[in-house]
Formats: sequence, structure tokens, C-alpha cells
Amino acid sequence: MMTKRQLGKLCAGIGLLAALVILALDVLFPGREGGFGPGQITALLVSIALFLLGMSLLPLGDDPA
Amino acid sequence: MLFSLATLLLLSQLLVLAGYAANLLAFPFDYDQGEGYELEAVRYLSQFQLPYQDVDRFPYYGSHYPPLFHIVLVPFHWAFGPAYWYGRALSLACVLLTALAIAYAVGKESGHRSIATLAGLAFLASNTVYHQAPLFRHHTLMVLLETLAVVLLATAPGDLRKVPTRRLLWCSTLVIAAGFAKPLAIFTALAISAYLILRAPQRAWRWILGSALAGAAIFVGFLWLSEGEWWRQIIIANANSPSILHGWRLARLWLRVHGWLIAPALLLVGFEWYFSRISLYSLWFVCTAFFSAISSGGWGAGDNYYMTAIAATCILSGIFAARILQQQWRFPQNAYGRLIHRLAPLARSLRQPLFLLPAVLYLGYALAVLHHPTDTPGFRELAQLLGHEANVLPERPFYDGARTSLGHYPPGYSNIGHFTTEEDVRAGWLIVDWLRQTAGPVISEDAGFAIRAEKSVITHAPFLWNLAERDHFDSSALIAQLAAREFSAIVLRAPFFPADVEAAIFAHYEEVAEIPLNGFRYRILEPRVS
Repeated sequence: MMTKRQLGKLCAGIGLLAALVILALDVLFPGREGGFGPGQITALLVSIALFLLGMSLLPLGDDPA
Repeated sequence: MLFSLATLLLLSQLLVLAGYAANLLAFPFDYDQGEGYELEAVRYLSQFQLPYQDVDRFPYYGSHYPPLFHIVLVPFHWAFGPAYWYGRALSLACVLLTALAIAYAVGKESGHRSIATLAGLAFLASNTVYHQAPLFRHHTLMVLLETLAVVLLATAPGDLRKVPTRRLLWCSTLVIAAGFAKPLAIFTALAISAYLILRAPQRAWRWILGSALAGAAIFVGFLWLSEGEWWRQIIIANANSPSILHGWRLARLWLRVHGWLIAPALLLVGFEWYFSRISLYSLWFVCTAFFSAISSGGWGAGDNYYMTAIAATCILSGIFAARILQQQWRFPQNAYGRLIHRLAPLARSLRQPLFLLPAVLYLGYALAVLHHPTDTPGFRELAQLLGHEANVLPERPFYDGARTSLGHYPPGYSNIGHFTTEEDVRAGWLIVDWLRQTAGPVISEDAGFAIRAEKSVITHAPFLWNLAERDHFDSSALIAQLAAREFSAIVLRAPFFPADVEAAIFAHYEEVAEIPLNGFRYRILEPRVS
């Protein structure tokens, strides 16, 4: 059974990783067309939201998720 | 009083749905674009052939949907021949059963029968559900199977780690079946997987692996049986790049029309996130709403992609409303709960107004989704009372609350819902008679006319367009047949053919008649004489 803290860490980790990958896309693939477009911005916002939601679960400790 | 009004309005929407369904069950032609192609897929299967034919060769027909919906209809095809009514009746039955499953879920969770009934009625009153309910299409079967799988697992008593394996197997079977009705069920599979990981991680991996293997085995079976066409037709043809703008507009429409129930659903999700255990319904709502928003903006997609999220919305909002009426909101003494407890005096003073909230939510929702004829006794008076004017297709007396007063709607929103008329039926038979009088094969963009004229169904226009867009359709044989004027007539509606095919059609065929039907102009083309 997963706890709120474990779930929080998981969500925050996924959100952070996704945000870094999205930001790094243009560095990793400099030839990509379109630049930092609306799709990337939306995905970045979702990733940040997931990170924050995950972080907000950390104070809840071992409560069951 | 407010509850009675909301119930009355939602019941009136059920009445409109009954009228719409009766109207379409009797309508012998394609109502929504593409229904005839699904009927043709049933015919293939009824003759023990897969509809996933080599589309590069005559008759250039294929299907971009998995076959479960078609397979269920095969006995009806054997018994009654090619007809639309049984596919539309099955679709309607799926929607009604989904509403019952929603009511059961809310009733089981809350024990509040009135709210459970309202939750089921709210699902049926949704404009999106209304549009899809009586169509010869797959989507409703998928939604029913998804809902049954979720409700079956969510209502499992006790600790999920000790739930009988049989229940998990049923859940798995329903989700896989939903996926073979329409692949969008993958989002529900994701929600169930996440739920199992949260509650019973060890069983979760076994369930995920087992379900994935079973689904993959069926997939490979179809791949083998169709000699590879399954991949091209189910995967490649459906790989549309979603338009963010279209997706955003549809998401806004979904929020605007269903917002009265989305808001309480979101509040319950938030409550479970911080103060309680996260339910399967919450995960289902988040997964399906999120992925619907992403995928609904693609070509060929649309507001119907939200139907599963609407089912989840109705369940969550029903539970939310029931908890208010039963005073069941309890905040634990955790880090955030202590903050909430400080607001207890305020909450006590708001108790009376809060009791009104469920009724206000359902009444607001009922008014937002309202759709009805504007010329039928009873609804005519309602339209006058609320100031509703017909706002659907030209000359159709029907009001749809999801559209603007001028009838505008975002791309992807289904331009249907109005009733067909005697003139539509007469016009349909006129086209059929025209095709019957021709000697050779015909192409009809709405396959129903060819089927009624007892001609072979040749081509599947939007499907060929999809494949051509991905460079997976070799149009040379079809264009050669068009150039040789081998088809005695072509019936066009949109048209949705690939550009080179469309160019060949207009190069070698000329328009000889135009017949209005169901708000569209059907053009009949015959070979040019020169």
C-alpha cells in the first residue's frame, strides 16, 4: 500500500523529470522546427503542476494514499 | 423545489433522447457520417471475413476500428440483413446501461437514491452523450464496458489486496473488451493500473502484465489474420496529430457545458488527494479528462472523446452531492485538516446554504445542457419561456445549449442532434433509386445509399484520406478506374477523399444532380461524355 508521502515523491519526481526533459528538448534537438511552441508550454505547465501537487503531499507522511 | 425542477428538466432531456432515438431507429440512411461503413464491416464479419481488407485494391475498403461492436451485431445481420436500427438500438442500450451503472455506483457509495437517480439522468442529459446515444457507432459500447470495469473494481468490498481474483479477471476482461471496441479505453486501463498500484502494488503488476499479455495476444492474432493490414488500419490510420487549438476549444466547451458537475467532481478529487484515500473514480476522472483534452483535437476525433470523463464526472459529483445532504464530510487531523478545522465556525454558519448546493448544481447543469425541439408541444412553450431559438442546422427546429445563439460550435463538436424529416427519407430514396438505375458499380461517400441500392460498398473516403495523409495509401488503381470511368455514379457529401482521388473524380465525372438531405447537399456525379 502506498503512502501519501511516497505518492508525493513519485508525482514530484515525474513532474520534475518531465519538466527538465521538456526544457531540454530544444537543447537536445537543436534542429527541431517550431521552437518552444504551445504544446511544449502546455506540457511544461502540466509537469510543474504535477511537481507542486506531489510536493504538497509530503507533509501528510504515512497516511494511506 | 429546486430539486424537483432539476429532476423535471433532466427527465425532459430523457424524453428528447427517446424522441431522437425513435426518429433515428426509423431513419434508413446514414445520419452521422460514417455509419454505413460500420454496417459494411458487420457484413464482412457476417460472412466470416475481416473488414481489414487490402485498401490499395478494389473495393478499396477498410476499417479503422477494432471489431467488437461489429461482432456483437453479426447475429442481427444474419437475422435482418443490412439495417441501421439494430446498431443504433445497441448503442442506445449501452448508454442506458451506462447511466444505470453510474446510478448504481453513486447509490452504492452514498446510499442516497435520489442523488443516484439524478447522477444517471445527468449522464443521459449531456449534449455529448445525447448526440452519440442512438448512432451506429462503437463509442458507447466502449464507454459501457469501461464503466462496468471501473464500478466492478471500485465497489469491491474490503481490502483490495484480498479481493477475489475472479473480480480482477472480470475487470481485466471488460477493459480489454472495451479496448477492442475502441482503443481509447487505454486511458481507463491506465486509471485502473494506477489505482491497483496505490492500493495493492504486488497484485497490480500481475494484473497489468496479465492484461497486457492477453490484449497483445488478441492484437497479434488480428495482425496475423489480416496479413498485417490490422497495423496499417488500426494503428497508422488512427495516428492523428492532435491540434492544440481545437483541443483547447473543445475542452473549454466541455468545461462550460458540464462545469456545474465538473466543479464538485474536482472538489472531491482534491478532498481525496489531501484528506482521504484516492478512489478509483477520482483517478478515472483525472486520467480520462486529461487524455481526452489531449486527444480530442485530432482530425476525426471530437467531443465524444469526453464521454468517459462525463461518466466519471457524474459519479464523483453525485457522491459529492450525497455527502453534503448526508453531512458526511469529515476532515482528518492531518497537516491540512487542522487548517480546515479552524474554519469550522464558518462552516457551521454556512450549513443551511450548503444544503441547497446540490440542487443548485443539478439545476445549473440541467439548464446548461438543455437541448430540445422548438416546435413540439411542451418544448415549444419551454423554448418561449427560456427564450431559446432554433440554433442547429438551417431550417431544423432544434435548440442545443452547447452552441451559441447563432449556432456556432468549435471544430470537433458533433453537428447532429436534430430530428430527421419525411423529406429527408424521400430524398434518401431518390438517391437510392438513382443508383439502382445505373448498370455498373457506384461509389457513395455515405455507404448507406449503395447498401440500400444493393450495390457493393466501394472505398471508405475518410479512412483513405487518413491513410493517404500518412503516405500509406496507393491510390493508383482507384485513380485508374476513375480515369477509365468504370463507376456509373458517384455520390459525394463532403467530400473526404484524398486530394488526388478527389481531383480524378472531378476530372472524369460531372455533377448531374444535387439532392439536399439532412442539412447536407448530396451531389451525384456521372462519367463525363468526352
